[in-house]
Amino acid sequence: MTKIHADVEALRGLRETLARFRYDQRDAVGRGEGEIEVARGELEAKASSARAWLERCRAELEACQEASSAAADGPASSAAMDDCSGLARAVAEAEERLEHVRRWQQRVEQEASSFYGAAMRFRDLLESDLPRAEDHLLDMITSLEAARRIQAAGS
Amino acid sequence: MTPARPDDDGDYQLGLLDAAWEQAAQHWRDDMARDFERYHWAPLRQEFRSYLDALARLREVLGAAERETGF
Repeated sequence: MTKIHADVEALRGLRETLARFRYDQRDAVGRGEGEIEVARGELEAKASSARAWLERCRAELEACQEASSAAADGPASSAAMDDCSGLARAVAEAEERLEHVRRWQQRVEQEASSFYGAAMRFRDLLESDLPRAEDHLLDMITSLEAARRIQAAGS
Repeated sequence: MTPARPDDDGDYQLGLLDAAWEQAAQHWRDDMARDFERYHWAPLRQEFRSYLDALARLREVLGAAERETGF
């Protein structure tokens, strides 16, 4: 039998710390994933809102341009032209806003992908490697306690 | 008991692990201890640190996304 040079109480303390750590962290890993889902939902809602606003601006611009074309056949109206240029600016602004949200959606997906890799490795460690380490320590503790009993019986 | 949030107190959690290992290592100095450190302890510490760093970056980006798109 391999002789173990260790203190049983120190090993027991280490094993308890590892078990507590595994228990505390197992739910925490899922919370990061939950935060990603919430952020995705919020960004999609903002993108949807930005799309709706863009469509509205485009429809108003189109209507304005049609009205301007019709007016061009009659007396020229500079006021109508000014209204259309304001709406054109609103369309450009709405496009930029939508593009801005899309860029952030992509940025979040990139970071989420990176996070999932780290979270998966950590979860694997919590679910398989760490229990094995705890079992290994328990085997050692059991061996040390058995050796102590033999020593005590022999003395 | 509410599980600790690793992103909120990751360094504290890491400190607890380190303290437990240092305590055990003071009384455990053989080949098995070295193997345990190499195959169990070091990977645990490394993956936890990587996870904490990834989580910190993620939360930074999620916060920025919320702020920057708050029209």
